Amino acid sequence: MDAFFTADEIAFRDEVRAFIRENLPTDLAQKTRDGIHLAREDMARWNTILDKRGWAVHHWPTEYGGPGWTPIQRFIFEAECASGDAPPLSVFGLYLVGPTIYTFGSSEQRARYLPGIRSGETFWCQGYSEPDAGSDLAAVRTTARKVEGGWIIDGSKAWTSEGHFADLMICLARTNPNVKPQAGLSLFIVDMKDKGISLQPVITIDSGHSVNTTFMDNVFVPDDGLIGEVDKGWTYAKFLLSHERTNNAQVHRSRREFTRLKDLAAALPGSGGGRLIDEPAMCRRFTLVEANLVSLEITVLRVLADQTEGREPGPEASIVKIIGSELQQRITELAMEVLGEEGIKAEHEGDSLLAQEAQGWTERHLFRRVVTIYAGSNEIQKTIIARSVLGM
Amino acid sequence: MRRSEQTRAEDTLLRDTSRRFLEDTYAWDEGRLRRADRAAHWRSAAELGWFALGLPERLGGLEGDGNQLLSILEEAGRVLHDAPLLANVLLAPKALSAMNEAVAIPLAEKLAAGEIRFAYVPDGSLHLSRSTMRLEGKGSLALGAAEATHWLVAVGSRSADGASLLLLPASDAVRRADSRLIDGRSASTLYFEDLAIPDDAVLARGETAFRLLEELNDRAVIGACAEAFGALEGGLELTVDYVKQRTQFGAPLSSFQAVQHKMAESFCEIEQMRSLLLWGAVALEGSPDERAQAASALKVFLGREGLTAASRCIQVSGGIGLTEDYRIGHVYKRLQTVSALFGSTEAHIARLGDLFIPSTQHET
Ligand SMILES: Cc1cc2nc3c(=O)[nH]c(=O)nc-3n(C[C@H](O)[C@H](O)[C@H](O)COP(=O)(O)OP(=O)(O)OC[C@H]3O[C@@H](n4cnc5c(N)ncnc54)[C@H](O)[C@@H]3O)c2cc1C
Repeated sequence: MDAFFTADEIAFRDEVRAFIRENLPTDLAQKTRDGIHLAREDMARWNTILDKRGWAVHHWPTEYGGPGWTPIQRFIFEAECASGDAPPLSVFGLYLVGPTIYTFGSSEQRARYLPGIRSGETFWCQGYSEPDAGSDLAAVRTTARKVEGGWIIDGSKAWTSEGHFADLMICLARTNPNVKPQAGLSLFIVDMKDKGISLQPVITIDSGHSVNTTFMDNVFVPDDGLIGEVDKGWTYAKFLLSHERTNNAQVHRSRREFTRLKDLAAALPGSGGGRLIDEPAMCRRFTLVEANLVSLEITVLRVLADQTEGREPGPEASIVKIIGSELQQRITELAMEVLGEEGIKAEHEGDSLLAQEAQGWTERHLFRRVVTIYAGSNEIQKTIIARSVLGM
Repeated sequence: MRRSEQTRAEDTLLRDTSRRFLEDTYAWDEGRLRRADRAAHWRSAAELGWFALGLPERLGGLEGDGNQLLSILEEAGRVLHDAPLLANVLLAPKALSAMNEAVAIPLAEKLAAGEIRFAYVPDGSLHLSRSTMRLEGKGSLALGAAEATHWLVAVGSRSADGASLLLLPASDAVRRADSRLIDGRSASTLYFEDLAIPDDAVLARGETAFRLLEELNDRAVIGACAEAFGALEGGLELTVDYVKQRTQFGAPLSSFQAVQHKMAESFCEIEQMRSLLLWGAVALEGSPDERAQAASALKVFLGREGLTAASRCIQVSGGIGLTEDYRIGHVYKRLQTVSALFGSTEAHIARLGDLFIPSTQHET
């Protein structure tokens, strides 16, 4: 795909690559390869290393510490991080809360919260979904009631990813029950250490713990914990969901994982004595995934090129979440075929290449059923395409 | 021959009794802990005749047909049964039928009474030397090997020359790596390191053994697919009930056409699997070629359409489908597990292809 980049961009890529090679601790790279739910300390360490170089918040405007890169440079940076096995940074602070606060927050909020996100010292979680408000987010029932000096929040939030180690939550709550559902919601900054907050872990089918149910009972948020204006929460939340569409494609992670899978299939013996990857059926499956992956990469680049050159991205922007998530699942499905019986073991013992690679793949394969469900389910995305792109 | 699952009265009775017994004593619950006493449960299964059903009358068995045997496994699949029924309901009776009666009768009695348990050890890289009678190599994953009293070991299954079927008493002298599988069952890899095999442990060798090994593996495939089918059918029912109850945007999920179509597609796949299982049931007693075709077709279907049907059930369940406390994820894991056992999907595609389009070399 080099044909797609300018000489300057290639030089930039080499610079990023060299930086990662020299600065990414090997144990962090190993942890990234091994599992899917990384510990807070691990994400924070890499965040801090990037921050020292000025690269932690690479998609933020320069006035808030961003490096001033073009969208294409960010693509290259993310691709290099993924291919070097750098830990993924916590999405909530960097992609959700940061942009919400610098776009809609007060200058005090910017000064108070942005530096911690940039440095990796504070972790955030997202409290939008509720047991009865999933795809239908406007059905949020958690309430925020005005009191002297602030707000009292009551309710429960479902699926709070990373809530068990987050310091703060960005929380969508109902401030006005008397208007249409979307119009009565507001966004708050909630301290996870508040005594009114309790968490219940939710174990997912990969046996991991990354999500929680969060109960909020009489949680006090001071006035300066309201983001922007009261009752505007829905507008803010939607603005952001439409903002970072290409991130959801997870194209770099897919590329990295696919490369690793290819390497594994090349290192494993096939049934006929040669390499597994040379068996016609395997070879064909890898090749078909490669064709899809390249087309996803180029589609994402198209969106970013439009953004870089100041154009509004075309309709292709709405497909990347769908095709990216489906491709992630196809890659792990292929991994299960490569792993054979090793892939269905819940724990993998021994130091064979197969056993070492299997743990991560089995977990990923199971957990990745989620990617077509969260961040706007694919059914909802398809309805949006039919309506707003195709005019149906 | 049975060409519809609209069953005879005695079959319905067997299925209903099995379902009630399993739901009363072994239902899957959110705690993921079976409160049942596993040993007592096994004895009750024996009392219901599950292990005698596949045995011929001359071994004191009930001589049930393929449909009856598979209906037990299907029902066990519905509750995501985790004990090694497959080898004891479907495989051991076949192996015992192939044995010298004087040896087989006492074993058959104990199997039927639930006093001994067999595990099937599929071939991995096993080799038995004819001259020294020493066994080398490792087996493929063997369900329930750790709790079995006897191992049915498939050796040298790739060619008639090296093939033999062994019946070994389970022994701690054999190195065993036990694993918990993602669907909660336990399985082991057995490593045989120069183990001396007495003559009377060899149930069959050469061409006879080769055919018997194929038959046993086909039976394992068909039986495992019956269990997976039961799990999937139960999973679809659960999911359809769920989407009727869950409301979003002021309407039940079941009212959205995207959700309806997903469920309808899964239904199409499940009904086709049911057809293939009916074929599998009669093919258990059919010609080797037909049995092989039915087994591989089922296995391919399960690994592709079956898994797709299960993943769609997760999809329309939304977040809850991802949780360990909800059943649908376990259904998916059961299908994923079965699809990796007894030959991968790709291996069965290749085998089915060889049967469907025999290569010219084979014919000469
Ligand atoms: C592992 C995990 C992590 C998560 N992390 C977070 C987090 O950190 N913060 C947070 O706020 N949320 C989080 N979520 C929640 C996630 O955003 C929701 O699961 C998602 O919005 C779907 O909602 P739901 O699970 O209630 O499914 P439902 O909304 O009940 O949907 C179930 C199914 O019905 C379909 N459906 C619904 N409505 C329609 C329609 N109108 N037309 C057609 N089909 C429809 C959906 O596509 C889906 O297939 C997480 C979820 C999971 C599973």
